[in-house]
Amino acid sequence: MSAKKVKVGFFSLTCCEGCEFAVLDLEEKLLKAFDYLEIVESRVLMEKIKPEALKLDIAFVEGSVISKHDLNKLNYIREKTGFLVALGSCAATAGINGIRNALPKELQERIRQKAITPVKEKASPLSAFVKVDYILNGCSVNELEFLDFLNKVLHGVIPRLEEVPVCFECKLKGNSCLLLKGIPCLGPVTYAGCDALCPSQNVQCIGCRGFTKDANFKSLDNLLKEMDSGKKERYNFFTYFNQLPKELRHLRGEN
Amino acid sequence: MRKTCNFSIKEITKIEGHANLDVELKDGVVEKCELKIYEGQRFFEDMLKGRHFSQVPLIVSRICGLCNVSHLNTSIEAVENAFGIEASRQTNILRDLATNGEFLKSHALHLFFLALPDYLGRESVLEFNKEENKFLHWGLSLKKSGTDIIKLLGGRIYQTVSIRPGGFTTLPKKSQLDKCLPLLENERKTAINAIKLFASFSEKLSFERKTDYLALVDSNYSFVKGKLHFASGLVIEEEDMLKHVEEFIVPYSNAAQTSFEGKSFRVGSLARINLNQKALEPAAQDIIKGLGLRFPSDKIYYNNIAQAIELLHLIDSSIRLIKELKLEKEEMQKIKPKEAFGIGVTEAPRGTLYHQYSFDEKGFVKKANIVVPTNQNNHPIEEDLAEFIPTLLDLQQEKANLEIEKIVRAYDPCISCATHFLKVNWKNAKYNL
Repeated sequence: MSAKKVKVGFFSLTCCEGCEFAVLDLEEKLLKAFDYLEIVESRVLMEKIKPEALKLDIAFVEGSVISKHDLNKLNYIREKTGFLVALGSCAATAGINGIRNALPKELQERIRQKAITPVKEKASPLSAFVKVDYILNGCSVNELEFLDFLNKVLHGVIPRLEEVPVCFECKLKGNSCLLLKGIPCLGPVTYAGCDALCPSQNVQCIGCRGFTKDANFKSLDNLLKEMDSGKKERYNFFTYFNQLPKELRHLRGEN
Repeated sequence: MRKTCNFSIKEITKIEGHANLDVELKDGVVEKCELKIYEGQRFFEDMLKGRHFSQVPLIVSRICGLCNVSHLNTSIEAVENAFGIEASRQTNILRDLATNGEFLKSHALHLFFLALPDYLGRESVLEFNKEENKFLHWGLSLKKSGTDIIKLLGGRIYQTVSIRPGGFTTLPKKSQLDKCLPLLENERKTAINAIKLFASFSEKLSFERKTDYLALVDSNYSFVKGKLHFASGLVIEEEDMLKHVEEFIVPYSNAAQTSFEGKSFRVGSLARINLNQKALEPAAQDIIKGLGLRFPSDKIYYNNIAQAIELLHLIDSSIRLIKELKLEKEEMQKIKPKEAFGIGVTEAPRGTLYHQYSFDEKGFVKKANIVVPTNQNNHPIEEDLAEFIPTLLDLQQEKANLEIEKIVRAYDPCISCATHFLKVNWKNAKYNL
């Protein structure tokens, strides 16, 4: 490792800012990493952006693009940054912000016209506008996954994205399956990496880490239907943190 | 600073969220002082429409990263209130504990990471010298005493998992909770040091303005139960809050403001101690006396001293709750939805938080309304600044800006919360959308 410190910035667009706090929660573990990296921008911590912040090795960006201000800021960050990481669901998939994309057109239009900050038609993930080099998903972000990423990157390795569903981690932990108990769960269609946090606490997975590439939505939807879950419940359930998959368009309508 | 000028402070930092301030001065009098919250609105109330009640707490907890447990608890209170669920004694105690944990975390972060640099004349914690770095360790260990509790009860620190309407989906073991005790006991002296530290700054920052205060008042200093008291005298039931507190839109900001009988009022730690000092844990009351601190106070910087005092209260209250608790296995209560209306009011770290929902017969949300502390505090912030800015004329603009930001930060505003929605067509609004 060279003596030169890696320049890192944290930025937030529209969101709850919980991911940045979750990362800061690593405390001593993060402080150790300060030997190798220099935080040049973190609005939560600092007074004003420093001119030297203009060149960044890694930018962690949380939040969705909702306003024009968000977009300008994102473009600026992208321009100044070598490696851009989407931090958390809002940045990765639009997350909970994305619920608004399915609101009635009329309401959306009214909201858009009257908002003080020019608002875009949709709440979008970063990748809708710029190249995203890596995704750390989840609501909130898993701080250990963040640390693992940081450690690897500081050694010049870009970690491989997990491509297995939450069920995989449930099996590893020996959890009993919630779906088999008759509790609706999005584990089969959601990316793992959270250590099956929610199912391990008897709580259904709500899909905060995004849907897997090869998810079989139809089969899960049929299963939920057999559990007496109504159309509106299922629509609600699939669109907690994610946009409604094309295969499940039939669920839309009543909402 | 010139007697007549216009200036803006862009991107006020070290607060939770994004805000600018625009000021117009004429002959040393503030003609315009607008706190512009430009963070994108997130329309939570609209997003909740048509959502099942079971999803509501999990969605609204995403309004705020720092006070998600408060939004969670308040929405759970509203849901249980709507469907006639009475939480068990044990559930209430565990919720109180989780709330304590969140307050410890939130106050410690604000005091040591966001407010302290102002008092020490540093730009940020990253510029603290060796001596000052110890304060960061104070902050981190105080925060940890809270986050340990949240993690045990909620499954994780940010966006907790197991706190739900009807109870807890999983319960920790009593022995695990007992393990929180040594750190809590140890942090008592850190909290006492913190109170002394922030009290030592009180001379430097003496701005005060007579105004009204609102807080939930209860004989146990509960953050969840009680009656709403205004310092000016009115006492009302939780569910009557919006009969007296009026919300209005301001044309220049993405966040609404509130007033009571046409006037602004402050909420938060200062309001709570001003209104309910005698219900604090004995040690917290003793130190107020010992240091000769005077409450009620109209000095806004006392809000930070009040937060530090609450740290000690929270620690003692948590120790007591854990020691008294006999943790028994409890099933979650089943909730049968019906057409109903429910209100939840609690104290969040930054002040009074109000959630209101109406549900259809299957338990889907018809309408939601949320009033957060920062919306209530935006109004007195502007009024404070209108009085404060003319006293800064001798300072250079940059120095004056810093003094102005200090006032805003003393309130510990949370902009993410404040922009959770877009209010449309409120009666008597200053500006109708």
